[in-house]
Amino acid sequence: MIPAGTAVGRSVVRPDLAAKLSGAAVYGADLPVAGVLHVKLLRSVVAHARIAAVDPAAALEVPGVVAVVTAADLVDLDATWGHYVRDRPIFADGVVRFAGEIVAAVAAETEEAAAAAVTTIEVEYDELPALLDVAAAAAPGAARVHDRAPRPGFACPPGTELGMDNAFYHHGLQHERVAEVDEAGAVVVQHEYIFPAVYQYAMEPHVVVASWEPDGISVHSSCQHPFLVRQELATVFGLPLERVRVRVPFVGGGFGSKSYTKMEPVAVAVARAVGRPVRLVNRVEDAMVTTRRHGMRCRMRTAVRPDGRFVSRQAWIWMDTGAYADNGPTVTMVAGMAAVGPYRWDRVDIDAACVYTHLPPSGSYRGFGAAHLQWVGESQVDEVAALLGIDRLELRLRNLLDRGETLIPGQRPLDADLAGDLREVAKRLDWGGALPAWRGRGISVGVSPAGVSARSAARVELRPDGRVMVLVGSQEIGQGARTVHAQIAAEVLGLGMERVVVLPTDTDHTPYDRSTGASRSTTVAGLAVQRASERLRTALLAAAAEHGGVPVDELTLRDGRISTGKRSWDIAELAAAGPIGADGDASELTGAGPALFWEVCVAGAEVSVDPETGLVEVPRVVTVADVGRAVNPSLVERQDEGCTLQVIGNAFFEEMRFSEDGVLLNDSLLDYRVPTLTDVPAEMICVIVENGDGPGPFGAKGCGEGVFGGLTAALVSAVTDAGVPVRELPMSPDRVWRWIQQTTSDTAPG
Amino acid sequence: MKPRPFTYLAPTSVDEALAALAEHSFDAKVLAGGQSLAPLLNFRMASPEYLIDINDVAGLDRVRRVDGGWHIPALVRQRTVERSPELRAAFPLLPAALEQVAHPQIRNRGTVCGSLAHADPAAELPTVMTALDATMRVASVRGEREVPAEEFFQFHFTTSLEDDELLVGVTVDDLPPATSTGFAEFAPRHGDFALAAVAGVVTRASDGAVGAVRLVASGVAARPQRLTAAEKVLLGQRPTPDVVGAAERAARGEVDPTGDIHASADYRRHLVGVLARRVLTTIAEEGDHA
Ligand SMILES: Cc1cc2nc3c(=O)[nH]c(=O)nc-3n(C[C@H](O)[C@H](O)[C@H](O)COP(=O)(O)OP(=O)(O)OC[C@H]3O[C@@H](n4cnc5c(N)ncnc54)[C@H](O)[C@@H]3O)c2cc1C
Repeated sequence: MIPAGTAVGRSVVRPDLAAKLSGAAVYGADLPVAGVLHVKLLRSVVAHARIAAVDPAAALEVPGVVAVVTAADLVDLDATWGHYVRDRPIFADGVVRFAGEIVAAVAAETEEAAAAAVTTIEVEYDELPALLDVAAAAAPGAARVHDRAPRPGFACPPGTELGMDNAFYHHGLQHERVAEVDEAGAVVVQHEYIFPAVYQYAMEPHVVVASWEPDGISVHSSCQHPFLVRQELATVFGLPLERVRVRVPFVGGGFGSKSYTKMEPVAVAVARAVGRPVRLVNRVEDAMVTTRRHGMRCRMRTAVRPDGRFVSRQAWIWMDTGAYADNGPTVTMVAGMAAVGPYRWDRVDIDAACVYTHLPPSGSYRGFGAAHLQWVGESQVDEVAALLGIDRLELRLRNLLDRGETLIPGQRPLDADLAGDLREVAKRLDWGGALPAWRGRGISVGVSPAGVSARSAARVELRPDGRVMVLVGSQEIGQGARTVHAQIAAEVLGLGMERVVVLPTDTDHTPYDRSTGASRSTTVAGLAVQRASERLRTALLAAAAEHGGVPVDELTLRDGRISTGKRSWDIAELAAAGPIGADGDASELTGAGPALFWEVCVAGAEVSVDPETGLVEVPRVVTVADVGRAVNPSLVERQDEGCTLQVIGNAFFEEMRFSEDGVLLNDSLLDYRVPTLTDVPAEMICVIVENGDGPGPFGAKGCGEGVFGGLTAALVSAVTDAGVPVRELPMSPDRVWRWIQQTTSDTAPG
Repeated sequence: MKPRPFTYLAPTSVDEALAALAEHSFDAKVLAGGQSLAPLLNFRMASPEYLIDINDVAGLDRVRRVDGGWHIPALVRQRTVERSPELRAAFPLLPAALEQVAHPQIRNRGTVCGSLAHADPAAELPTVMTALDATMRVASVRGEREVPAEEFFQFHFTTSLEDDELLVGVTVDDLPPATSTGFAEFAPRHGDFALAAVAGVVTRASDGAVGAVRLVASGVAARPQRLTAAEKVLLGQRPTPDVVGAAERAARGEVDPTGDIHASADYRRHLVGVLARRVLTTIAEEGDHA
């Protein structure tokens, strides 16, 4: 533990708490907009079809309806979007590629009129065969979901190869640490694994208020990456960046579901067609077909010498990205990296493929890639440990990389003490102690690339009322980004928290920030806030020196006052004539590839399995928040706890179920179960590790996603330890029961 | 979504309520606790023209002692029954099952009779009332009739109530001496509808053998299903682990559930066996110690 500063290192109460608890916080759907029209969308009811006809006549008869908008209204535009691959039409254009694809929009004076009208639009579909299974879609000779060559989107890294097959993107990792790798005598495990499609479930589904004005586009959106949304809208609608303005109100959770562009293009397209502001509010059933987490299939092979030394790892991974790429290639890349594991292999050979299917599109969800692959790799480590009779913890410790070693050539070297983290977990789990039958313990270690980009800037201004305004483009999506940024500014400027205000984002005024994701807000945007605050501090001291006629080095700045010996001034006096501001950015952060730092994914769990019902209970989880420096320890713990609950849903019961025709069956929260308070483990231990080794402010590095990789794997490990081998998630009771039947019949005396 | 528009009626007596039902019958829905009906209205899975709110009807909100049993009228809340000392003593099966129904907030509003009239095949109360051999008191302007639980529940969300009939209450007879009861269910998450549940009522003869038994399962058919094959195994036998094991196998063999997105058919069948054994094991232990 590092001693707390005046603001940093303290669990200060979040400044937005009262507004959120009292209902005063304004979310997108609350925004009062004069003359707004309400939009309802008509979505395809079939997974793959040619659209023979769309007849809006009946809808236009409904009183209150102003317009029905379809692809036919956008022929003057290149009306496709997608930041990585520009593959997605705003409205289905002649063909639908998934059940739920947007075919038409109704704009009406009331929500009721829009809802009533949208059901009367008649669409004639000529159905086509749908590819619903990722393996079938990736098979040679499979029909193509897209028949045109993929066009790179504006955020596609230069040089990326996009192919014509459904498996349009591959991330390969091939390296040999040792020449002429010798597998002779090695223990080999190889299996296939399945990961389900799941839904992020942010409490607030997507909301967009959009207007098309003479001087450009104005959008209020519940989004995580407003600056990328601006860029996307500018690209699609052919406007310069400065004529697109994106503002973000309070956001009711994201978890990746609101990353990049989602509902903004269709909202803007309707606003453009009707010439009035429009409001589009997704419902849960809309949100579920807007973005989801990739389902995955994978084959993995691990070879280990009889003495426990790791030799090689191979994996073939197929990520089901649905009908449109969304952030699929990035998810695929991170999945490929997660397949390696932070171990000293002689040889690594991974191929991760991003595959189009006729299912709803998949994108980012907290911990992506690590959530998909860490459990697979770690379960093979466990299996090897069992075959060799070596303790699972011991086998890991023998093969783990040390700080500074290369994990993936060309990427940032390992920047954490993973062995130390793992030992912390083992201690809290009473590792090695006896357990009754059908109880198990699991432990897991991994890392995931985080930070993504150093492109974050901030401006900090002292205003005449004595308060300091922080302008930074991270979105407050519940994680506490604004609280943390206020703490950083307060610490540097020697101010009380009540005098620091972090403003909501308006792309016209807020400095650029790439995105709120990849655990980067504290580390990257936070560094920009720190640097800007430091410059402001320097400026204030210089101004005070001039003001008081004293040398700068005799001045101190504390509690909002600058003092020299007996005299002191409130800093407000310095700003009496107008605000004093300073800028900062995070450009000093460097690192090849996506990892500005490695987010640590270390966790442990204890479970008990009811062998009769297959129900798994989780009496204890241990998570490690290896955060370098905890700017706000309470927020760090809440991140791990919230993620723990999402992991429990993903690992034990969440699963999007599609019909044989590719239609989502469980499209409501009655049928798609998300965890609730009753699913909270009896004991949740969050170990905060502060080694001061992060590249962010005060040695901090990001957190909040690592639990997804770490705990999913630890739960699988624990269930396996309890006697039930796992090759597929979720570990729902009926599956666990079936696996137990299989294991007992396999081992029954024949 | 919000419900389609409807006309709201709030009778204050049973006669008024019955008159309204007679007048509007098929076009009307009775509103009791609203814990099932309100969601149905909001999802527009039900769109009645008239809503007959019976919450102001006098005389339906108190449990009362009747000849040889207890009567639970239409407005008695699930939570009231769960917490009533008299009913807990007379029918431990009721609180055992009610504690598994939804959450306290829902049980505070939801009525016992509302759950019975709703007849969700996954609900606890229809199963328990079938095991207790309860009697439904049904009224309309045409008169009153009594319907045994086993005839009342017919199909998914379907009872033998006619469109103009009100379920005025349910009567449960006192259990005979030397009777033990048990309830077990499996829901992946507390408060969810169960994937399967089993309720049992067993009366022992003086030699400890099973003299009478009613074993009822939910989650395996379109209505509560009596496990008659398992009952047959038990009748006349002392409920030793072997006999209970045989009953488990019989129960598993006699149900024919269908799979859905929540669980496969095989798994539900297996669960019914496990739950039947768990119920019978508790009952056997309790009876042996009596
Ligand atoms: C989140 C949630 C979880 C739930 N979980 C469970 C659970 O685990 N197990 C379970 O069993 N139930 C569960 N329920 C349902 C709950 O138990 C309902 O309260 C009960 O099914 C209905 O009782 P009610 O008084 O609210 O009836 P209402 O909702 O008012 O009515 C239900 C139906 O019965 C009819 N009706 C009501 N009273 C009468 C009457 N006297 N005569 C004729 N018809 C009548 C109505 O017209 C309507 O069709 C849950 C409900 C919710 C919202």
